[in-house]
Amino acid sequence: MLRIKENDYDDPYLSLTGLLVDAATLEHSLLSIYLYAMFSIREEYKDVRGELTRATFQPQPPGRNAMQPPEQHKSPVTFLDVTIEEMQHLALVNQLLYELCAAPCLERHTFPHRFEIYPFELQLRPLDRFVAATFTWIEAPAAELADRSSDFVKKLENEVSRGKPDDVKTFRKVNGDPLGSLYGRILERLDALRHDPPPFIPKTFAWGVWSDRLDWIRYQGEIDHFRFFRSLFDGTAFKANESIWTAPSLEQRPAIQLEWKSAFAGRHNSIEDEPKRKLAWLSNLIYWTLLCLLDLSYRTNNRKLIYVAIEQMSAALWWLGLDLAHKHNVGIPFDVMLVRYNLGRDEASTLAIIERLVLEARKVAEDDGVRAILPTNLDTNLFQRTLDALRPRH
Amino acid sequence: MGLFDFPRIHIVGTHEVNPGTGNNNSASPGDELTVTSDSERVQPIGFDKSDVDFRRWMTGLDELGMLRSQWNYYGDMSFRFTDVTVRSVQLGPNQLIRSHAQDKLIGASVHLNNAIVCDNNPEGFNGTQVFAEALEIHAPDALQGAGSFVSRPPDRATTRWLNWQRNVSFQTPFKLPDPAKPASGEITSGAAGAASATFQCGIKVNAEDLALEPSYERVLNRSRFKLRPEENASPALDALVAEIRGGACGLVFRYNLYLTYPRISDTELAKRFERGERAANPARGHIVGTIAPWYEHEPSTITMGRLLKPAAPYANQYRSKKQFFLSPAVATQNTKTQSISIDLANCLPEDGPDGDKYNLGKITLGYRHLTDPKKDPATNTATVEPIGTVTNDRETYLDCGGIYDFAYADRPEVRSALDDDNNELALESSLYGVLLYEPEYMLASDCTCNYLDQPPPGQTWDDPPVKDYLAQQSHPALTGRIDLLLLRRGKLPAKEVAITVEEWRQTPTGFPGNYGVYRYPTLQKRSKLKWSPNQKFDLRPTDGPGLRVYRFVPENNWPQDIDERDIAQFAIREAIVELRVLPYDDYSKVRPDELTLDFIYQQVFRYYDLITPAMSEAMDLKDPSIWKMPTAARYVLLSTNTDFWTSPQYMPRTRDLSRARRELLQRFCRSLLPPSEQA
Repeated sequence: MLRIKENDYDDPYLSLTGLLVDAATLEHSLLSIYLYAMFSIREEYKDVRGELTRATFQPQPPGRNAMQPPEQHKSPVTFLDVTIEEMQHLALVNQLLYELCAAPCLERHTFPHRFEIYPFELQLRPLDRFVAATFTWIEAPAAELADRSSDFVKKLENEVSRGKPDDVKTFRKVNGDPLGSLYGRILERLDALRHDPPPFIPKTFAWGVWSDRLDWIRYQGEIDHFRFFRSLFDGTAFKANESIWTAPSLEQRPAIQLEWKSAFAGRHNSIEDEPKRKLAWLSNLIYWTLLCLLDLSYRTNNRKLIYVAIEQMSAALWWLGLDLAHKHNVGIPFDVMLVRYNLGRDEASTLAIIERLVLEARKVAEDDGVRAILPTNLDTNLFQRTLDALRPRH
Repeated sequence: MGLFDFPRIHIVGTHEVNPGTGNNNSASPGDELTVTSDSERVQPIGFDKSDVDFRRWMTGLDELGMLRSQWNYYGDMSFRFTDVTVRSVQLGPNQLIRSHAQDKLIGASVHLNNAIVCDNNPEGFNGTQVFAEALEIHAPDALQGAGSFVSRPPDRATTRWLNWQRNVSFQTPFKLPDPAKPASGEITSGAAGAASATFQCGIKVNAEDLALEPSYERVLNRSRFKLRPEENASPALDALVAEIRGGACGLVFRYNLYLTYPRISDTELAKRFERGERAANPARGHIVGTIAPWYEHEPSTITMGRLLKPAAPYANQYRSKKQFFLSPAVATQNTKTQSISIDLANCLPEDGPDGDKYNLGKITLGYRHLTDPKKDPATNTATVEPIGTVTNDRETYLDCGGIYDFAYADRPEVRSALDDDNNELALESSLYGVLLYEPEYMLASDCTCNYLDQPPPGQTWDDPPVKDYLAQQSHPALTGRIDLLLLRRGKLPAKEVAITVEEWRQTPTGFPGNYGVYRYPTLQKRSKLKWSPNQKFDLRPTDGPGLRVYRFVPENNWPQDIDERDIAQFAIREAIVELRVLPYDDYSKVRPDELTLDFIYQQVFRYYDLITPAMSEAMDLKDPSIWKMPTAARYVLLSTNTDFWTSPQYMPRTRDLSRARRELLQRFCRSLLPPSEQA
């Protein structure tokens, strides 16, 4: 269970890297539940959901000085934008771990998971008013939640507690906003470490740059993401009001209903329909490939692998997520791989093992039952492209 | 007055600069080494070599024992402040504070975040540019929140006042090549320890940066760009904030790099390359700098005032056969404080690797009867009337950031002498006489490093498509139009001033097959203009790509004419502007099926792969598997967009990708995108 550490370690380095691992785990967990919910949004609200464009998936350091494609300046924030920013947060935290000479962290919790910092469980769920309320809560700055007499906070507390707002009180004892607090503590630890850095951290480590980037993550969450989720919660994102969530007909609501099932075979909660389960299994394999690639890219500072990882998302996972939800009424499972995402003992063996994972995915995609229901936009050349890209550098 | 205003925050420390040197060709003006790259065509020399052979050749030693790629083949262009702190602050001419107890800003760490360096002219020496994401001052005792001020992006800084002779006795711990003797011992091509250079940039601080907006305040206490001093902690920061509230538009940051040299010899590097290591060899050195208020309508990259130029050489006891000069300096009168200040941060020489000041005797700033503009200022024997004495020792230099102030409030004769057009300023050494004198005019541009693309055959710079393209560019350096700033003894001239403009062709500096022979610049064109306030000048270079140097010569300047050796050697004293003209290539007939990675590699990537290989470290652009992924294409499309030209993330860092090649590369990238994105 994640909890915000006061001072588990005396050593500021251990304390900082411990918190960064917490942050990476939390960001990854949030990213998964956000994506799951996003995929459930109906096509008619694709302006809220977002669409893949050239501007999407730009692998670069975020922040106020980041290069932003001109077309992105004017367009309103979409759910996809928010998830991409979460991916960037995860990437930044891992990059920071790398630069601090620590190992990356691509692990996340299995769901449902009860985080000590939230008055509700995190679960892979389609978007509805409750889910929108929990997302709003997660990203809310402490000050926004402080005024318990405000209509907004009352409604939010009522929703996240499913009508038992007094239960929320227990969780209000946490000083500060949860996610922001975590980054606040990371920033404090970074400041502390800056005054007495361990000798193995390069002298050229950019303390200020990292402090600024972490601050940016916090800003993005507490300002941009909070505003977006609040607009989902109150319905304004859909050019409506909160009543859209209680429309008499399910078809009139912004998102479809999905029940989470696993793509692992033979479990009590496995997807029953075999072709659909295999399609979902394919999404797992691609998701895991992506994570393994990211893990290796952070360990070896290999930007190419980041591109390859992004390709898994844009060429396959995006389309699988949409089709699974809207054609097969199955949420993308985001099962947790049963091993760590650092698959090999060194770079060469890791690449070789990832290759097997890609081959496994390609085999699944070529399965007759799966091929018949593959998303039409899924780029099946992805597998070969990925295999080509796994050749060692130099 | 910018830099000369108060408060001044003086910084000192060390830095690390990691330029790629594969395309340098020459070591210093008149000193050509192996020609590895054609700066005009932006191509490696020796197209007959295979890539493997070329790299082996680059990483090998030349006949004098120096690396052909020079001292840092694997430099990635990064530039870092490694140990820079605030040493002192100044609230007025005689109000220097050195104690943390008196100003808690003292001791603060200072950083230039995500900075890179990039030469406008890889074969030249003046036009180094610095692009950075932010200036950061980390002062937990003096700044609110997390104790940091992280600025808005600084303007591009460019080299000012390069000084080849800053250190009279130290260049490098290694040996220098000697054509008369066979190579022995550890030799370096990076004997830059004797040189120094000043850089300057403006940094905007907006009124809203001085306070937290209500919406931020609730949740964030360390927002970027915010300059929020703790109460009663730092008089200097309080004064700076007051200046900004009073109308200053931000900060001006002038810093001087000196005693900067690489720490690994070419001899050792060659051995490491032989073993397969891709070793970078950054130069490390010292920095002294000053942060001061910056005002609207003041230039960003230079402080204008009363210019002092070298008048005569001084004797260097270590090298008696060579003439040594000071570098130019700028002075300004402050009528409010009744003082005159002179920036000598880059000027007075040092002796040895510890940076102790060289003994020039007593140094006096004074005035004398002006020099006849037709005569060599060295022949002016008028007596120098002293204004003040420069305390020429290292500690004082560091304390005041190289800026020396002399009050004259109780000396009316000085005030009237400074206002008298028949006088000029002079810097005099008791041992060597007048070393700097004041010419009538100070002329400079705020945009000294520029880029243009050679127009297609049949088109001129003034054809509408070319003009329209230039007008659309995101940065003045790309528009072909520069500002010309001019002061007459520190004031705007009362009448038009005749300016002669010379265009010199500066590349190539060598001959690929003729080692060690330096080609001096050639005068291409001479023209005239009448300067008036808000003067602009259109850079319209004569034929072909390559490097041009424009020398602007005001009337009464001495000398009016200089020869090719002097423009190479002493351009640093002149009012010059550099322009790099990137080559035109006609790719209009390249068919889609010809747009292959191999073709793109030959046209675009090969140069970077062979000449600046650090660019391939994080991602090998010749790896075909990368180009099977639209993600890489999308990223390159974004990173080569000139809207981001000042971003440290702009590609290529060397900023020498021509429009024709950029558009070819972008065409290639678009061909890799899904059809829906290709429009």
